[in-house]
Amino acid sequence: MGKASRREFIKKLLALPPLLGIGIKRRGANTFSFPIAQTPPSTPTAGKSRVVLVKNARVIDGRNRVNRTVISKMVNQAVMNLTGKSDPKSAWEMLFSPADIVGIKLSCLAGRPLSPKPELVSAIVSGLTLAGIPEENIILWERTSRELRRAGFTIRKSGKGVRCYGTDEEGVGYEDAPRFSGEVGSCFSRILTERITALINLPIVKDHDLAGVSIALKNMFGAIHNPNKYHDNNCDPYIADLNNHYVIRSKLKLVVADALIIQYHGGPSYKPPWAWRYGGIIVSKNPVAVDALGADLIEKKRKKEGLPSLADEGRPPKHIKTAASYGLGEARLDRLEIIRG
Amino acid sequence: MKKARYFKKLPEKKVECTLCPRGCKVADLERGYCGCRENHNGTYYTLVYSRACAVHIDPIEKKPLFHFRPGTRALSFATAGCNIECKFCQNWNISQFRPEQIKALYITPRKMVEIAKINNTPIIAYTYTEPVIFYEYMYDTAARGKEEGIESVMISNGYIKREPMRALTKVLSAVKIDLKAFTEKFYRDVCHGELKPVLDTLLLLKEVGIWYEIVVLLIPTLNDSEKEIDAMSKWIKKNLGADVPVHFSRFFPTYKMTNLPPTPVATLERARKIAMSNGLHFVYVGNVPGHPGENTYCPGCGKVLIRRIGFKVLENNIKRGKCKFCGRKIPGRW
Repeated sequence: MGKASRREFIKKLLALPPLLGIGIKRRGANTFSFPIAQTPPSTPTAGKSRVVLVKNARVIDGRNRVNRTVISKMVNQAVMNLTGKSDPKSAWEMLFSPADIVGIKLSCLAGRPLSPKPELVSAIVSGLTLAGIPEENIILWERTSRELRRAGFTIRKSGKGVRCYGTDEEGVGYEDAPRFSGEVGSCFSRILTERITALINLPIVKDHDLAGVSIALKNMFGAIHNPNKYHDNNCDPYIADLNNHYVIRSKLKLVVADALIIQYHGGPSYKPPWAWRYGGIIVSKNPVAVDALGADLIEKKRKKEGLPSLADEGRPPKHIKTAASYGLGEARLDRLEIIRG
Repeated sequence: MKKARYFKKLPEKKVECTLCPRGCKVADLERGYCGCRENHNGTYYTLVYSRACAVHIDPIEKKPLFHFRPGTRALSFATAGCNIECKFCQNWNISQFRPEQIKALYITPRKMVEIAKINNTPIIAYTYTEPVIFYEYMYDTAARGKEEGIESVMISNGYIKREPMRALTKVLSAVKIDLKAFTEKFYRDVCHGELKPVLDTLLLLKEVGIWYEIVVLLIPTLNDSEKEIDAMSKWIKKNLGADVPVHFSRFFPTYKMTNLPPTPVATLERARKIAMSNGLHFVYVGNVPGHPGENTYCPGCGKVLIRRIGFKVLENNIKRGKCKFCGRKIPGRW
């Protein structure tokens, strides 16, 4: 296209709003707001106080490579301990039905060194297939496909096998209207609201410069369009409010926290000086218990390394207690049934 | 990505943004409140430079600027993001989203000026979202435009620090400030911002002598009390003078504020009356097309200087900056 004709083209494009094919999207007349969904505090659901911590020194080597056989055994052992079943198949069947479409929300902000390990994800996928769920009905998801790629995952939106994509993919996106829960008003990822029936929350156990820790509860910030608006006051009560929304509460079936490498300071990004090769996973139905246990691991390690506590650094993980106060789970370690494997 | 112009490096690869009063302290790989500035390895970057997500040609009256080149058109654009969160935001579909969530075109400052010239728009307006958050893009476009005879106007919430605002006024021709309310409580609870920095920005604009106008969106029960309008207009008169135009605009329910009705026209009229009785010369009613409060009246003889309906100028009786009837000088950029 020549200079003059390109100018003419731009001129034509600019002739009528909306210009250039983009503009302010108008909300349709049928859009609506949800009432504030504040569930009254209740006692933690029975069975939600159980949390399983499995460690194995052989699961990760000095170059941070994960042993597939060991991680697979760890995952199945954890799920069996959690459900009380004596074989992996029965354990997974207790948690998921073959009709489920399962979304696994990863936490990939920090790139490959500090994102859920693909070997761990594979072990969970294998467990889901034991429960009769076809691979095509499993979605690995994050905010963006780019984050997933950087963490070592391959984007797949169709065809055979496990799906893997971000909310930013064409045809996915966020809902048109915000949903409300306490102080939070956000558009939710359509993956969470429309595409899945069951949710697995798969965070990393890591330190966070504002929230204190970023584990299971904070991982759900990746399900909304505007997490940047909710970081004041150590992200409290925002994290708890978000997790208190019925969409998350009703779909969350399992939390598997990747504690193979724990970032005990300098988070949420990967900082090798404070990356601890712990070799564990924390599994529960209760995200509050996972966060409480993960935060405790971080605090103890910080103390051992001569670092101030999170509270002394002005970033106590307040959101864990707030979430517990909403009845989302038990946060007091002495009230948790911690099964160590 | 382009390096941000205003930030400080902190230990452990953290940064502190020094562009707006929020002063976000941001860890590596994290973003500030606006969602469009990101820390990479201890350096802060803007993610929206040359990434326009809305581009239109609007009448200047739509901004609204009533005393600045009436009847002209402005090439108006925005990027994603905002440094506050008004629960009544009309453009929340772009202002409250992150850049990667919004379709955008790559239009450099040079190209934007070129588009303005091709389309015979003598003004570029930075608008729709909050231009403070695309500061570098706005500054470079305005500077380029100035070189080529295109004026720039910033349509802003005024939530910006003194130094960057002062620098910006050197390349802008006019500013419109949304004064959301006159209480810290409203700013905190409804906008997640602060009042004082906005008032400081208004004082700075007066100090540097750039043309500016004020818009106040009146929301039933929240910022429309007579007491508040009285205090606000007295502050404006005392600190900014009688000649700064003030637009009281009508609210319509949207975004997170769908539980309130549109502002009654009587409320706007009452606010206008209070402000004028406190000595302000140019007080307008906005978002009520055809209302007589859209017109500009001469403070000297009372005659209609500019007759408007909506964004359309029907009549302009200002000649060489003066009332054609009584010769009184009318403040503005004509």
